[in-house]
Amino acid sequence: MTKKIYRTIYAGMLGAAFAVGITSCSDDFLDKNPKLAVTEYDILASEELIDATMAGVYSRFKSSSFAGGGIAAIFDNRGDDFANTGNNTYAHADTYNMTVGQNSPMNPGYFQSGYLAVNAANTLKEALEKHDNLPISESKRQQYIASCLFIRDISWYYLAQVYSQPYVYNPDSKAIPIHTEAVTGPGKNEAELWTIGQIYNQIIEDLSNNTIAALPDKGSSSFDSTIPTQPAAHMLLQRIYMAMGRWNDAISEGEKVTGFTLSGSVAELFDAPYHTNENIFSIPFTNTERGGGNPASYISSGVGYIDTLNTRTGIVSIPEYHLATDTRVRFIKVDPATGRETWYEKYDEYTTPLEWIHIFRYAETLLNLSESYYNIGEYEKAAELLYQVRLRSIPTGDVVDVRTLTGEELKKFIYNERRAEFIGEGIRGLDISRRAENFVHPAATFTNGKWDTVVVATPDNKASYCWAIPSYEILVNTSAAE
Amino acid sequence: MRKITLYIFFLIFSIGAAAQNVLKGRVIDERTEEPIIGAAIQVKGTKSATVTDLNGHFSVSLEGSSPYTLVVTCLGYIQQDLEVYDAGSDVDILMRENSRMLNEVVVVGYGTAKARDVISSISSINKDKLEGVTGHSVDNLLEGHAAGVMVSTTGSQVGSAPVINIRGVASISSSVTPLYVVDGVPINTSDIASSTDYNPVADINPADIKSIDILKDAAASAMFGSRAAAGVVIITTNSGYAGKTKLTYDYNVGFNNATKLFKPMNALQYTDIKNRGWLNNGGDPENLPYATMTDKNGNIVSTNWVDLVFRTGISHNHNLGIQGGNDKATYYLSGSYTTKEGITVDAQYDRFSFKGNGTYKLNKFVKLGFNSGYTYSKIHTADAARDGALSSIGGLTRLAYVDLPNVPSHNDDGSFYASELAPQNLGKGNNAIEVFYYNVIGLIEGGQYAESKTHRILTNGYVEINPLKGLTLKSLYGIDWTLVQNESFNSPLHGGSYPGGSSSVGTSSLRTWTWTNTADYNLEFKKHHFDILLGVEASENKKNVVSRTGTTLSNRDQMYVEAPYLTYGGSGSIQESSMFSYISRFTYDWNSRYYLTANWRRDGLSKLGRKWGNFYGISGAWRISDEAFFKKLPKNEIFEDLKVKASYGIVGNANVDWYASKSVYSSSTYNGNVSYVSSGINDPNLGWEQTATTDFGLSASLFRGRVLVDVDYFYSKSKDLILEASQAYSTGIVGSKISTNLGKTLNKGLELSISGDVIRKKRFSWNVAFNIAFVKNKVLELADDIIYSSSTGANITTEGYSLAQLYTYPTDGVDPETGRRVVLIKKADGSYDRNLLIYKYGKGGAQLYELDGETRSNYTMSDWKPEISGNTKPTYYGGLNNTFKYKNWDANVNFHFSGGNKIVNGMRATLSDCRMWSGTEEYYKNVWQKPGDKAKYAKPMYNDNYSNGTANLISDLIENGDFIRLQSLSVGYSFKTKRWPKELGISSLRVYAQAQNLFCITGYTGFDPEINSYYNSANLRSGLDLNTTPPTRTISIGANVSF
Repeated sequence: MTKKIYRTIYAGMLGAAFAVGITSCSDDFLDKNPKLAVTEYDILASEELIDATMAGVYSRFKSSSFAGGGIAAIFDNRGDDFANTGNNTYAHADTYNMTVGQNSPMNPGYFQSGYLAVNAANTLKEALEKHDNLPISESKRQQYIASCLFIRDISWYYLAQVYSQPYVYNPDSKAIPIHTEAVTGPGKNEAELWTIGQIYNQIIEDLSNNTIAALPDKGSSSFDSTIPTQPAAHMLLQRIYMAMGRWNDAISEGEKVTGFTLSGSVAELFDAPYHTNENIFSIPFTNTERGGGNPASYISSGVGYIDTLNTRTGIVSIPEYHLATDTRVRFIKVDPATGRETWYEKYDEYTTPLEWIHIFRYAETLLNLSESYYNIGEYEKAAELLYQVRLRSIPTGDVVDVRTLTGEELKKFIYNERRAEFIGEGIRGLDISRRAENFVHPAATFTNGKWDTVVVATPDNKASYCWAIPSYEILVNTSAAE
Repeated sequence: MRKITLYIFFLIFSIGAAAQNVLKGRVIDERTEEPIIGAAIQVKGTKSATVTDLNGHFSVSLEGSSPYTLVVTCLGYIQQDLEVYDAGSDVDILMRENSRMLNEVVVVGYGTAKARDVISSISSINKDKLEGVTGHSVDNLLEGHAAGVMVSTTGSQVGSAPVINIRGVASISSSVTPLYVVDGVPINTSDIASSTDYNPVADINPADIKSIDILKDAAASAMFGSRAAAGVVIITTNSGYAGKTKLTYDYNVGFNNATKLFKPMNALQYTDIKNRGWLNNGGDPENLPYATMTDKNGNIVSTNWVDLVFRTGISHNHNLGIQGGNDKATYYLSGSYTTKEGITVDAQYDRFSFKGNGTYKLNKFVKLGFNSGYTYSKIHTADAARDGALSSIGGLTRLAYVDLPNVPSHNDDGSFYASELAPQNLGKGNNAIEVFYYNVIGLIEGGQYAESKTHRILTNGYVEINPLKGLTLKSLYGIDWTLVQNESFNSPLHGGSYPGGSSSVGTSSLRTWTWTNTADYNLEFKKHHFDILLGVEASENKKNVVSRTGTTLSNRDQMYVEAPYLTYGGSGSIQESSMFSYISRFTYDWNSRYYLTANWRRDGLSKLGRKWGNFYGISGAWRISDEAFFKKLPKNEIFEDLKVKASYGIVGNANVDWYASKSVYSSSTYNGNVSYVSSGINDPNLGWEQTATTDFGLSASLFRGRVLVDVDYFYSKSKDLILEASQAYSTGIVGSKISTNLGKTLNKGLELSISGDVIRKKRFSWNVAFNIAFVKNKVLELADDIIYSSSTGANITTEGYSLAQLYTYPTDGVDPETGRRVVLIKKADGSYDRNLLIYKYGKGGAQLYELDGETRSNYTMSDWKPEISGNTKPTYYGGLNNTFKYKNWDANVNFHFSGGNKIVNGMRATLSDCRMWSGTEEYYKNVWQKPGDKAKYAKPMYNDNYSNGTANLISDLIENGDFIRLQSLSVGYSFKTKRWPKELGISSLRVYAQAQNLFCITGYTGFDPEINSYYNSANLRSGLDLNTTPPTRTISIGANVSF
């Protein structure tokens, strides 16, 4: 009898355990969410998270393949002030040689990171537009929507520069696929190529006066040169109008950029803390966000990098830009092995690259204005603006007074000053294609004591002048095939 | 009545004085002459029966009339029926082990079954099959032992796990490592170490294993439902038993070295071939870029880095076990220590393991038990190459071959030889060209290393209650906790991008608990036998990882990971998953002749969007040999047992990412402020991968159990495989993919196992077990027709082919006249145009020429396109296991073979590259020199990285992967301890010698045909041999003693 009781007790105990086991199977038990990440449903839950998501959009733009290095490397290699002496396509050898094909190693990374920034911006923008009662102020909501527009616009701008022929050559040149709406799920692979003209018009439409007004202005306490601001938006528009040959509009945008001054020297911009009253929009690096793709890692003398100065036909070969009193000449580095000027060390922190990458700085505003005024025939204004920039680096001992120049001579000096001022900052390649000029490299021969040049790409030949859309994109997005 | 022939040796050794009706005697193992404990003796046709005692003695009263028939049975032995006429003398009954142990227990998942009644496809390997096979991990032991189970040792990186495919590859993106269940509890098999490779299965000490059962078809594995698609390996560890306490100690010492190494070029060969390339490119003969140097004694410096990097390592194994118990309680305790030096300098594996288990019968209906193990292992290596890191500049095997032979390893003052320009690199000696490789010895001596220290607790406890006859309730709770201390150090001498040194330390913890509650009811009703099992199971996994990196040592003399650094960084992660399951099984048989089994399991998994899935298996079998009509057939006596079986079932694969159905944002920083970025978009409705398997089989025992045959045909179709659907870059979706249920694959094949005693003499026996499987894998459907990206390299996966096809650039050898590589350009009509590839440094690099070698081809390099060029998954594999016993000697010879696959010998490309690095003597001797040469390698051209296949892997590098390997060989001698004085206490002593990987017969010219450089991602990347460490050959001697 007792045996039976024991059996019953034990069986009962185990039965209870079973019951516990079964009841523990509520849906809660199977509901596991990542603790260190935020699901897409919770990303707008607090002001801190919204701020962080906005910063995430900037992080995407800052990708080392894109604004955090790639842009500077690409638009210096698409140029003639450096020579890429290596054979390494992972170090932009084919960018320099104007042979970037569908599968060139650096091509998909650049393309992809541009769109990551675009879609991050579009996604946040739509989320902010769709939801009411967000835990942020209305002005912040408008600022963030405008910031998203700015990031997608500047990303489109940089992408279009390599995949499209120049607007002034052909405004109907097919550029890149455009999604104006966020992609948050499958089924959105097909996107047609927009022309360079359509893209520029969309950017102009995006950056309306209202949009720009929602961004912080230079005078305000919330101005920060590492985020989208009113002057940054004007700079982007200025570049676009210049590319479209709309010089008056370019001047009007440039004139809206106020409150900035040139820093004491160009070198100041590349030494800690990397920001001066000249910074308009810069990509920041900190000790925990080292610049993997920082220009320092490819143009400095560091470990013998392969982007070397074009001392034959580049800007440093022109005497007016190699003056002993030009503080910018101090960036030129001699290779101790050969005794020759080989590298250009604006970025010299090659072991721990923390130098900020400047997207827009006030010197560009001035030189953009100079070029724009030149193009509407206001030579005096143009020369004065040029003089400001030149004087900063050559306070004494200049061999030419640029204020006296006019016509073609003035144009040459404006063009060349841009090269000397921005070398290593990725402006040269943008300028060449904006003006639909040929890409020209030094030749191995010389005539009359001067090195000859060879034309490596002309605007009419899209295959060499532009990059090919990556093959993966065309495979998946069949509409992108031209 | 059965005739007593070979099997029984019936000895009368004393003559009784008077006739009695009580027969006394002893039951002994015929081979070992050990007494058999617990053998049952029954006088046929009567109720008179007994069991042998600890010394094998018995006495039984002879009832009925003479002649009496004694039926002697014991688990694992062939039943003996023998005639006795009276009890006049004591008898010794010698019993022979049964190779097909039909009465043996097979573990089937949540229970056991007699082998005779198993109707699903299960391969069982028990302890004595593993005798003479040592290895530090269970999975290695399986190699070649079970039909349809492919175990491939892919290299010798310390801690790396072999690739295991049971019946093909049933998934594309998810792991196909089988589910391991140890003593009823599923264990973790994912490698959570971050600094080195780590094989979680190696935490189980092979010496603790009693048996391994591999569930292959759905009928068997559906009990494990969603986790069973890749097969289930059930491991049962040793346990105590009622009887005398037994203590066993085993020790062996082994010597490990590489199975194969190539001879590198010496300094003269190196400078000669490199300068030839220079001259062939039109270089200035007065300005040769490569030159030898001389040491202080005036001898030419010629360094053999391979000799410096590879070594003979020594290993030691100690195993101590004690087991015993009585009718109330049993116990087993063991401890082991293993230390193994790897074949490359500085590679070392150490393991301590402790295990204890016990059972206790509280009363007639309650039984308690526990099973606990703790393992500590340390994996240490200076080798930075892991999982196919071809370009890993810290890969020791690669460095050993590419480092320049014409410079010394050390300077005269003992410091290692380094570049003046970039001290982390090897100096260039008298060469004009700076090298960007490390001095491999400097790297090791400089103190670079990676280490994983693993603590693993595997423990479970259970209560078993039998409230009614036939009803067993069981509650089992198990914990599997792995804690890995990850550590790596980049010395300031070789810090690469961190010249001030850097370190990384951290821990990875993976903790799982599983609670299983089952009720099993067993009912016998006349000849009907029912077994019904119901249960629930819950489990939860937690993985926590933290790591800290330190950069730039504060004091360069303190080269420790714990030292102060100038800057620190860190990261961490938390991952959790849970699963809940309902389990059921219904088994029925009529008189062990007709069988029907059905099982059903419903699993819910937190990782998925559609969390719940239903899995089931049904199977039936028919023992034809029991049928009356069969017994009437002529020659039916050939068959002792004949059974046919069929099954169908659906199983799943739960090896998916932790949060596979969640789209999340993860934190980063922007300008020092927190930022959140999308980590990618996942399908919120992600569901189970499912595999439907059909199996037809036959198993037969022939010639009274002398020959056993098993044949199985399987056909399994997997669907809803989780695949990454490609998203255009322009969508801006992170990773350009969305994981979703899209793929379909097919695996089908035939398995055959034959085993038997070729010779069965008293003093000499020879048992052969042979198995072979033919497996065909095919991809039926993919998201985008192909899986090919920069991360799949020279592999492509596409519909209509098996997974991971080789994808190489077509070539056709070296043109004898010009010495140039012949490349094939595919034309629109499918035929090929032949061109020559000529590399001209500084004059355009690689270019295509017409066959005259002078005229530029109309084709450009971009017209030369890769194509599908070979299957990388073996289409047949198996093993041949021979066991010999002669008097006190025993020997085990185990072969393992595989083939039908192709391998691209990428290492050959590396070692015949024309850039500044070195290569093999084989390259030097087979390079094209003059017109008419039928050369393997193209005419050397300065800096040419194309002609021999480094830039684009070329089809000339493809070789057959077929091989047969002597996996293990062991010879042992057991002393006749019976004759030794009892006071010694030794009950058995065996000394042995064994060898693993003694030789491999293959046409493959690389290190080894089993090498797969991408062993951790083998589904989509296989058949690639890219500078991977060769396998290890181990020769050891040891002794095993029991008290």
